[in-house]
Amino acid sequence: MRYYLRHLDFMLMATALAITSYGLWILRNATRNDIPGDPTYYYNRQLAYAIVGVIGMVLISAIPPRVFRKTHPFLYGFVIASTAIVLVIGTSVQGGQRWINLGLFQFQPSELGKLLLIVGLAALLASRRHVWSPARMTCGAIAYMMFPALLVFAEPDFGTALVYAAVTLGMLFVLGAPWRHFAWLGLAFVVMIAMVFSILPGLGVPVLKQYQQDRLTAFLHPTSSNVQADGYHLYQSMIAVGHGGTTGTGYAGATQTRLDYLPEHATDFIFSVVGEERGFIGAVWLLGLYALLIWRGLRIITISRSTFGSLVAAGIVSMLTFQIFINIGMTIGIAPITGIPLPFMSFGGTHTITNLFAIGVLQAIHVHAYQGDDPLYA
Amino acid sequence: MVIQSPPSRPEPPPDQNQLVIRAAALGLVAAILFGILIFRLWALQVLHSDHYVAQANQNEVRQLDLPAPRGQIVDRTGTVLVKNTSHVLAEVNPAGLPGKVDCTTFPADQQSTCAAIVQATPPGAVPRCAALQLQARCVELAKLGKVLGLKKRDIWNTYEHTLYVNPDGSGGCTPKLGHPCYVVNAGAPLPIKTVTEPQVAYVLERRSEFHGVQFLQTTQRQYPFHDLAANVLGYVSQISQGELKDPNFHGVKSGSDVGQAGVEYSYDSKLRGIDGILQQNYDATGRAVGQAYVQQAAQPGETLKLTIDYRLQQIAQRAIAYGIQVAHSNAEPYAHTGAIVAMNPQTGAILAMASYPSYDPSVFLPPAKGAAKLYRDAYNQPLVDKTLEPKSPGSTFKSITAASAWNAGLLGPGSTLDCPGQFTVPGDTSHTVFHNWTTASSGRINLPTALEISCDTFFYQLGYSFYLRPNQGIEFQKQIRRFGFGTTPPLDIPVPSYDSGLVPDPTWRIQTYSNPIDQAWNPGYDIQMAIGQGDLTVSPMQLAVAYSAIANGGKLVTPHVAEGWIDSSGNEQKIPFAPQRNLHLSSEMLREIRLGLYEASHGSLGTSTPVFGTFQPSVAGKTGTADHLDKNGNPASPNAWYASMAPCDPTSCNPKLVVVALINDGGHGGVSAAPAALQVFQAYFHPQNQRLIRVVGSDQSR
Repeated sequence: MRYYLRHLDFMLMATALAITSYGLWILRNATRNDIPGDPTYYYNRQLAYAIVGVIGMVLISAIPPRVFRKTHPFLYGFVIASTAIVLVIGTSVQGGQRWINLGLFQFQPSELGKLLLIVGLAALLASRRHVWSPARMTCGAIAYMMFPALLVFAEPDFGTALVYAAVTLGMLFVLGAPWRHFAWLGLAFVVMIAMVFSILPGLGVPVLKQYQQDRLTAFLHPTSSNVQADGYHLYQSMIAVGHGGTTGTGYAGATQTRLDYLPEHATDFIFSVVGEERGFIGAVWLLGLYALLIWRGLRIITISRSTFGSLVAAGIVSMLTFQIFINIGMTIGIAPITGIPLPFMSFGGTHTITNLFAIGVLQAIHVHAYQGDDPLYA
Repeated sequence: MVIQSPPSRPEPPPDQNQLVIRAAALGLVAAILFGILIFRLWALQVLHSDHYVAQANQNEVRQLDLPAPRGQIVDRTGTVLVKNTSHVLAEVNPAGLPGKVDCTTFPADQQSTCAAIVQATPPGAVPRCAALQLQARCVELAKLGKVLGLKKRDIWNTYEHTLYVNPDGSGGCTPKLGHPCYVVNAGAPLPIKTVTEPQVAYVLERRSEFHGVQFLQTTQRQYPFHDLAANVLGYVSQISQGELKDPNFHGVKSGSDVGQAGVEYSYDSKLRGIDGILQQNYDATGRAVGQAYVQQAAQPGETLKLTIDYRLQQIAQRAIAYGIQVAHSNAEPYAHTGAIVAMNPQTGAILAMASYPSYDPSVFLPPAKGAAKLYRDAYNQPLVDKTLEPKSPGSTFKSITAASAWNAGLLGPGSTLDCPGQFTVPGDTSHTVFHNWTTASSGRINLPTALEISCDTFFYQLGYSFYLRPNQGIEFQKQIRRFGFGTTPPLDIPVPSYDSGLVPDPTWRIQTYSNPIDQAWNPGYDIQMAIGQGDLTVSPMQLAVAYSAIANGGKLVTPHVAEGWIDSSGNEQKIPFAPQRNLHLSSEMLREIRLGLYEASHGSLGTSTPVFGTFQPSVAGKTGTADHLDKNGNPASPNAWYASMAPCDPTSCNPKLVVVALINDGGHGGVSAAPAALQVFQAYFHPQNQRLIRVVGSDQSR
């Protein structure tokens, strides 16, 4: 127990808790007027999710990473199964089937799947290192990721599928995949973009639905598109963030996010609320906290004596970085609209809990950093 | 191959240097991404903030109601009786008018009066303009009135009349002498008047002088036939505070127009349609930016098709005027109001429901100046529907007495009774004599003859026989009530509760009077009721429903004016109106009563033979000359009644139309009311013949 306490990364824990609390505070203001007669509806729920996540984080950080490694086939199986099931019995919301209704709680398998995929992929890569050729490693990793990613893409949740891809790339990179692989992958990505957006539709095979396509390209021209449609959220978000100025407007002055100009202000566009209410200073403060989090994660990559641990940490860092950049970039008009939540800030049960569990996993790796890979494990 | 585990062996440790380099590279990528974010935030929030703040101020989007066009009302032939016209309406928004009263702006000599009045005003309210004319609000309204061509008292009244509160602050005050009302200057904009373009321009050029004045492109009701069937159609005006709670107006927003009477009220929910939603952008000062666009289209109200035949209704309204004229030329100068109900006896559908004099419902459109005049006309009371107003029915009620007596077993097939010149109750110590209309005796007669010559004493005996029945003859009232008398007719337009009429009985006597002499139920009351006199009152509508039962063989129909709905594609959906109940009248009884009615209009001694003797198809009908007292309790001219059906003759009686005509203070039924009914039958059966049928000579019979 004392060992455990001595080896926890307190700065990481503190940063994660700080961001979560900040998120709760912002959420409380943002959603005060959402449901008439119940100003703390969203806040109460998010608080509950945060508490569950923190408890999980503390518990998970006590688990030795080799336990995760041992269970990785089940975790991967769970990812495939749950993302497949959600396509069949998932509740349909705004044209997407992403959630399974568990009564009190809406479970989003694709979110939890990110963490489980990281663990599973890390286990796979760690055990096949020096067994497979680098090319096979890369292809194997891509294939391993593809199954759940395609299931998620079919929901349709393009954004989360991209996160899966980003996570895999990050892990491959840290693993030591040769630089040229990334050049090939980059080329493949460009070709895919061309295929999806122009070649295949030109041949009469639409891959993305029109609205998805519009959503993704809206960020390139927000004011010229129909203000009431795809460009609307984007443009309103930019106005809100710009409205915040250097010091922010405070709660009362945050007319754009408080009134109904931004219906998604509790979820995907929570950063717009930060931008408007807290201004440039508040936004940079938040980015600073995130940067601190990322740095601690990077540090764990390097101090972990086990490949598995490093890879898991790499996956988590990639996941968080990618999500933070895409979400915030979306709210300020430099990234496509993809429906990715802002970690620790956006309202939502599954991803808040998952991200806190992920911090727990990072802690677990940190606590056991001085233990190398279990020699009996392959 | 991917899922097969390789053989167990110890793992080589990770390459630390490579790891550090790679982690650093990853960190560099993260740093670059964060840098991009910070740079962009700098651009938005620091460099170009002004631009976005301006955008934010411009940004208020408000939803407005897109009023749904109200459904039209058409008659049974499809002729439009009520439609909408579009125009600009001037409204005043209470929020734009100066709310508080500043006595210091008053001339010195009026400041103390002002202070006293303000003192008495309940909190949150202001004095009426009529009470304190120099209030800033009233001055501005008066100025607006000048532009719109309204006197200041008129515009003040138009503005304030839905805003009145009592001195204790509770709603629903009506200003009367000695009972002051105050005004709560808040709520939805009040419509004032439709305006012309020059008037709009004038006001808009002087916006600062006319705060709170706004213009609304709107629709209003239009009545192409003016005063036709006003009692049926009703009118439309803005919903008042009290009416918002009415379940008939569920879902209506404050400031909307709703039907206030007639079918406009009863069928309001489908007539008003569903408002759409307009979205309009407003900037920070509340000014509209850009064009409003339709977010949700309005669903227009459906068209209501009535059972009324507009031509027959026109004839009926004119026929009452004609009946009044006839009354005047027959020494009955006091006749000035009347009613006619023309009904399909098989279904209860009302083809004409005329109340005279009528009025034009457009007086209720803003600024509704003429409405007050209608309310104040106590002589004609045009807003009181005479077809529903209960009066003594006189001899027309004898058919009902006959049916009641037959149902109670007092009459049977071929029954006869004496018809002496007078009747006294056996053993009556007061020796009250009940006279027939003639002193001569007509001998022993049967029921049809009794109806033909309208023998009072025949029916007195029936009344007295009822009296002898258990419980002071309550059986009589029970039978009468089965025909729907004593209850408001279940009409599909609002009927005030006092239009239930009265079927007097012992309980009523006890409740109404306090001294025991008046409270006692004497035989005379049943005797009088048997010939439709005494305290009994019925309305023309109730009588029409009862006569329809005689006409159709025993069904008490549900009277109604609505036929069905026509939706926007032209599909018609009928509204079902099931009969109230079946009275189970014996066919033998119906035969005798119908024969009596036929003889009354065709027999040598028939009371309406001069009018209907030669008319084809045969009209069977009963006259009524009902004595009644005026407001001061003095005997007034009798009310002239005629209750009839056609075609009906002794060999075949399958009436298509029942007509009940009433000329108040018109004298003899056969003289004034029957000719009025004749016009209606003429128009129905001989529509190509447009002329009035003038009846030569008069008949003094009852």
